[in-house]
Amino acid sequence: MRSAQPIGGIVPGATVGFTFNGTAMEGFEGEGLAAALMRAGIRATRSTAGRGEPRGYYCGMGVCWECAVEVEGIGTVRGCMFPVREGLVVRSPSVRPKEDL
Amino acid sequence: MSSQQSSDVVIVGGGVMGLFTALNLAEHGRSVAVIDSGRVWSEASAVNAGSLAAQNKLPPLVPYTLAAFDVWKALPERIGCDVDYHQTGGYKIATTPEEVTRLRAGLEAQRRAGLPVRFMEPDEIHAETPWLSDAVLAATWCPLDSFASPIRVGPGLHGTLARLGVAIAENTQIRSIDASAAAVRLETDAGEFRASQLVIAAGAWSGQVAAMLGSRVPVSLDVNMVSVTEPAPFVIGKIVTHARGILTLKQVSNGTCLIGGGWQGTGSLDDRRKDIDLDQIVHNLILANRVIPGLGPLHIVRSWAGYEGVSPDSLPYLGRLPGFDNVYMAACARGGFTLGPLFGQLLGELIVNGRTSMPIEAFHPGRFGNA
Amino acid sequence: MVKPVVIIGAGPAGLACARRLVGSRVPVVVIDDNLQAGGQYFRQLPPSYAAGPDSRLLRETERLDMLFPVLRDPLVTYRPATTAWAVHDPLTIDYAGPNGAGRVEAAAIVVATGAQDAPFPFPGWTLPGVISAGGCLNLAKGHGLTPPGRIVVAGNGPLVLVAAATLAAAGAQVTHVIEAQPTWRVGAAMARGALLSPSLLVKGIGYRARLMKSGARFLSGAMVSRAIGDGALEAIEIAPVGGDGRPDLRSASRIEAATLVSGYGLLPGTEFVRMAGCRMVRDPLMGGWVPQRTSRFETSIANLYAVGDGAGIGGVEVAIVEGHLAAGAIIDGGASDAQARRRYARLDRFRRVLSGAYVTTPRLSAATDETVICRCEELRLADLKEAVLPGDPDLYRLKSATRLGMGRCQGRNCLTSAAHLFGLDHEDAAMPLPRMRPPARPVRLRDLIENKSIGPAREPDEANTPMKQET
Repeated sequence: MRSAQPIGGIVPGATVGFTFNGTAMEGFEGEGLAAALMRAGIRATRSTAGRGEPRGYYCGMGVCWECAVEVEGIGTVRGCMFPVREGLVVRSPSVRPKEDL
Repeated sequence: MSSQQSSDVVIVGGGVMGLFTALNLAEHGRSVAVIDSGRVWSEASAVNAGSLAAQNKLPPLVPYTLAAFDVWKALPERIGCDVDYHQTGGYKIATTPEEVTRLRAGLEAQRRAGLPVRFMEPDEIHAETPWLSDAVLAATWCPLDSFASPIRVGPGLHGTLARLGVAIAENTQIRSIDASAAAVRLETDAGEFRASQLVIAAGAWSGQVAAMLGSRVPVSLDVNMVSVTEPAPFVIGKIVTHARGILTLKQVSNGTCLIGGGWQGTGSLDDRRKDIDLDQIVHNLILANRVIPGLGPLHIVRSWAGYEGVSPDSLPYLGRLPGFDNVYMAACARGGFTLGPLFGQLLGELIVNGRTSMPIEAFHPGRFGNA
Repeated sequence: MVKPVVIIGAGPAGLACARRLVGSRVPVVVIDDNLQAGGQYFRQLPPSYAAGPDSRLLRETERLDMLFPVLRDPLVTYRPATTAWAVHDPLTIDYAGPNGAGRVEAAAIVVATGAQDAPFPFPGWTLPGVISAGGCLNLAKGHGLTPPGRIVVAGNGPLVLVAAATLAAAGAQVTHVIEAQPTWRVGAAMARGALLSPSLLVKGIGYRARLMKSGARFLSGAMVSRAIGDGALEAIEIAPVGGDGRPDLRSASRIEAATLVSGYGLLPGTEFVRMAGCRMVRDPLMGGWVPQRTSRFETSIANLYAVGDGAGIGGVEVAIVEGHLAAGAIIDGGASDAQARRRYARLDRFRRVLSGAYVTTPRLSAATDETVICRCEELRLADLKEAVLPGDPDLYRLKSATRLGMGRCQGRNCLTSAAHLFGLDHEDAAMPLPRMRPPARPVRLRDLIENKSIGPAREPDEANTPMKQET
């Protein structure tokens, strides 16, 4: 499958390193986290709390929160709106609440 | 519009008091009609934060709160739905020396009223609940504090009532009430309702309904605000209340955190408007964040406000309206969501049997003089 | 101190408004949720990116170069990555974000909040790989990226062509473009509007030609009936649009695709005006429920203006002129705007023609009982139907019975589709959308409490809250 690709003639920002669910990743400085994950071939960036269904980039404009991920030290962010920078520790949000209160 | 409906009992107000009264009466074979000027289960009953806290009740209400927990526990089976009822226990916290004194002072009265409460020193609190900050100087712990989901109770109850044949008239405005004869007659914009008995369970509107009968029952209006966060990993396992009642906090089973505490918005009954007071809701959040700093990174997703009718002594109205043999009232309980299921049962007993299984004299609607 | 005009949204409408206000020495505060200005149409690449002259990214830069400098004007206070989360009387806005929180009293408020893709649920639309048309364009314009694999672009409206052409120009593998409205219908309607905006029409034809050249197959009168995949999109199912506006599954066919770009119309972002309490009117040619406006774009609240796609879908041209005219209304009541207003009248007629060309009767729908309607709360249509209680359904009741719209998107991706599916949105219907409460968008608690302009606390006290009034 053809991967998500930078458009010809566009010079991206410097390559930076971050982790996603513990795996080392490369991103271009300033691009959205969601874009970096898409380039890496990660399509489902989280699963839902209720039915455990996969979700990923959808609206691309900060409306739907489907691409939400957790950034250490910051909290939940919208992947499409949050720029990648060196050293970010990113996880799929673990929102599944404890079953037994 | 000249239609006429007859039932044994007509209930004005489809909130927690009215619908639970309807449930009890219907379960005793009475025919019931519920009239609501808006939607049933849409005001305080639906929009409160769902706390079923024993610790923040006034001491006279503690025995009723304890009895109400039994009703709550049986509720899922009775109305056929999960109401997200959880008895987590809760901390009532103090953040100033004055509040610590207040907590200690309240302890004895609570115990006398039958509430199991334990005083906790800071070390113990922070060992047990790392999510509470150092701003918490002391707390009392009560294992009975609970919560349930108002938005789950309403639909389940509504459906059960429909199955039991309770007639529910929504968006129905009452023009006049005549309770002088043996049968009560209500003229509404949807026709006439006749019944042997009338129950006023109109929450903050109850004073207005009583006034239609020439009776004065003082009700003042609170406009309580609540905020809710996005879902978060489950951390806050207990409900949190405050020595001065200015904070309630819980994380419910979908992971969202509900933040309240009776901070006041603005509004009036006339146009049903309730608005957020943007200063006060921020103060509410400042306090919440001071007590539980882990809330800081969470997004606030919504805030809302709801009416609460309050009597001058903050105790509920429950019983017969003075001067009438066939008119009753169940309204204005601080913590009405907690007490409503029990009060509906007590009022049902009063109407069906002429007596109640728990004393209700202290809640007499005529106690402030009804002239 | 002179109160500023507060503009919410730094897209074409907001920037055009700011530009003219500043030209008349009116101080302006621009509050924008995004990191970078431009809204959706002028969405910018990250500052660390560069686009060479040979870039294959299809985007317009001329008007951008005209609009952007205003943000550096000393009369402008520009607050990016900031949410205007609340509005209160008189014309006061509370804002918050990672760059700070505060309160600003405005001489006038101009709401230029733009639009989003209208929610259009079909089985499988939550699968990763199904992205909205706006999301596709933002991926290209905002991140310099095209989505993976074989791509199908499907929908209803001009954005389908724009998204497909942008992808094709960027070298992505678009295999099919599927428009629900039959081409002859679009063509017939557009012929009537041809004279109103020839340039836009030429642009549209150019897009179409570019697509033909790229080898993408163009189908009209068909729609997506299902997205299929285990964990992510693998294929879609399409079918002709039936007489009931639903896919006719008897003639369904399957197309392998890793990406589906779904663009079934745009929805004005009316959350802020609804929160403010502006009167709303229904106008299907404007995208549904929009704020009622005077000819000078003032809403039912004095000195609160609404412009651009957030006040009614019209595209970038309309947005720029509306922003410009709202500024004129604020500066001198629009006294010097006769010419611009004539230009606007023509654009306004054209946007209605364009929008009308794609209107399908009955409205399109592909949701089944098993389709997720509310993404945040994971509610399927069957869950909502089950919850409909005795009495008339309405969104308030559905909401309180099911948690519809109570998640982080605050109903933006479910309320209008639910209203449609439950027959609550029609000509004679009352405004079905529930009242919007602050915050207008989710804001971090720690950002909200940074507002130092708030008044003193009035602490409630447990048993003896001061009586506010006896009812």
